[in-house]
Amino acid sequence: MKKILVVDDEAHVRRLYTEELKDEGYEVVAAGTGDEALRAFDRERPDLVVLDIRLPDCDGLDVLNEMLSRRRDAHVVLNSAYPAFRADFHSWGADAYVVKSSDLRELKRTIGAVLSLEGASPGR
Amino acid sequence: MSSKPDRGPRRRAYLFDERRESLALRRIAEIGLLLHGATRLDDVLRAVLVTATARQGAGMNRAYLLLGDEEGRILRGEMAVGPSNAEEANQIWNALHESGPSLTEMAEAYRNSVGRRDVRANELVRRLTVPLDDTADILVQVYRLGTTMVADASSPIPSEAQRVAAVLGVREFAVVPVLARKGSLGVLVADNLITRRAFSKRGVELLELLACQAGLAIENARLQETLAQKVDELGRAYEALREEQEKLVRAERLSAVGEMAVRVAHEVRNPLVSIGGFTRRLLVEMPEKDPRSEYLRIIRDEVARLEQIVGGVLDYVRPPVSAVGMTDINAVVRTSLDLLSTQCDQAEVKVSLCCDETVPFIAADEARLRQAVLNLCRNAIQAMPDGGRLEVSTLPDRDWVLIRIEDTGVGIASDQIERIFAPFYTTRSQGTGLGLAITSQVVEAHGGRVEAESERGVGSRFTIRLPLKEQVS
Repeated sequence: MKKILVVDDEAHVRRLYTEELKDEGYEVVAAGTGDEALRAFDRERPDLVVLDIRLPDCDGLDVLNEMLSRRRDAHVVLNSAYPAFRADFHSWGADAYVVKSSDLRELKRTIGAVLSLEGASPGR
Repeated sequence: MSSKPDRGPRRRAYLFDERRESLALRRIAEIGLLLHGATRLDDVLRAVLVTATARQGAGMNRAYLLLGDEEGRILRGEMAVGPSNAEEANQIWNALHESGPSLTEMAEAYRNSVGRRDVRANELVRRLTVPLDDTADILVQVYRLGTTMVADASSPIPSEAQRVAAVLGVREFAVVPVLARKGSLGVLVADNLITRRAFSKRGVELLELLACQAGLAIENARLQETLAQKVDELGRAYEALREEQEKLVRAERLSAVGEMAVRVAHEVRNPLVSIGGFTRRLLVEMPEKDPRSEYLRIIRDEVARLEQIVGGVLDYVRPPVSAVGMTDINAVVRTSLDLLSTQCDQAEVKVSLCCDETVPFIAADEARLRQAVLNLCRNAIQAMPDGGRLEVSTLPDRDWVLIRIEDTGVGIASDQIERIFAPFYTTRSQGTGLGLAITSQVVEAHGGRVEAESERGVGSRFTIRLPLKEQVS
């Protein structure tokens, strides 16, 4: 079973994502801050991270860079209400970018696509 | 007694001289008035030449005016007045004979009667143009020394006068300096091609006086022109400053509005995700027939609408341009229309696309530009609720590339067209009112502008104008 780490500062959003992704058949762990996220990243070794960019303690893009420096093969889907960041080249290290919405179909589709490609392109 | 017969003629000669003197003085005064009345340099030059040739003035057949250029490199033929043959001369002189006795009236009559007759003289004056380092030339000598020279028919043509004599086709001519406060401005050349009359001492003196007046008038006219230019420049600078200030005020207002909107949007986005997301979860679990599922659908849809508004606000504040590359404008337009094809079909909007394939690639942020085009196209479709025609075209326009989006929709009232680019301005019940604001922001960030034309009940035309030169900020 693939493991997903959900990083979002809002408890309700974390809960929603956790339930929805579990329904999709993933194992889900969640973190509310950048610090928590990095610890969970090391401890849980998730197959994929859903990462919000605005975090209370730091910038999600820094978290992204840190994760990539710890594990070159980490898969990260950025998830933010700001479409602006899509054009930010710092975001380009991520596998995908999904604008935050209450409709989670795009996010789920993207996660599925990234994880199914994993086998096809080892080592990124 | 014996002295009587002698005194008579002498006295007459004296009276005759006196009358001539006073006539000449009156002419000079009149020349002064005429010249200083003209403020445009062209008018001054013409007045100088007309008075040089007028019977009431210096009475020469033809007159040519040459002025030194600002860099002091050449003496350039500026303007000439005079007939090219006896027939033309008669026509002009007859016309002038009808005119009033004053120089002013004469100048007026000359202007009216000559028309384009002095084309030939003007050709000649251009050929008189001479570099100022050619010190062997009579024109340059007069210009440099500031003294009059007369080429006399009675003696062989001196070498320095040969060029001018050849150009003018006469042996005899006078060259007088046009002097002003700061030295020589140019030279006035005159000849008597038609009458072949010899130059009198008095005639040359009159020419000198005229040239002297002319110098001051030319200097004045030049000063006035410089002044007018400066005033004009100042006016333009002021206008530019005012525009900049308006832009600044607008930008400031926008940024204040934007900042507040972003704060609100940021606070609202996460609760919306939770509300909408959990509603969707409830909907999945609820049997279709349960009447409460209708309520849940309303919540879901309203949340989606709010999310769209919030998204628009957050979109508006994103950095204007970030990923710049050489962009095919035609491709941008094509993809935008592809994305809208379903929407067009549903709205029964016929699309026609006309891409000019010669439109060059420009440095642009493709995604943002597409967004701008999409916004305008989407607006156009929404302006045609009962169907219509959407025409999109690209075309080069000198230093610009144009993207034109035309619809046959409801149009925009003239009192609203100014405001359509303001953020949160909308005439629709749905929508964020940010579409056009974002569009104009994106286009302005590319150094371009969006132009809107519209007629109520006929349709609207939006033109995105993008500079070819890289100006992305």
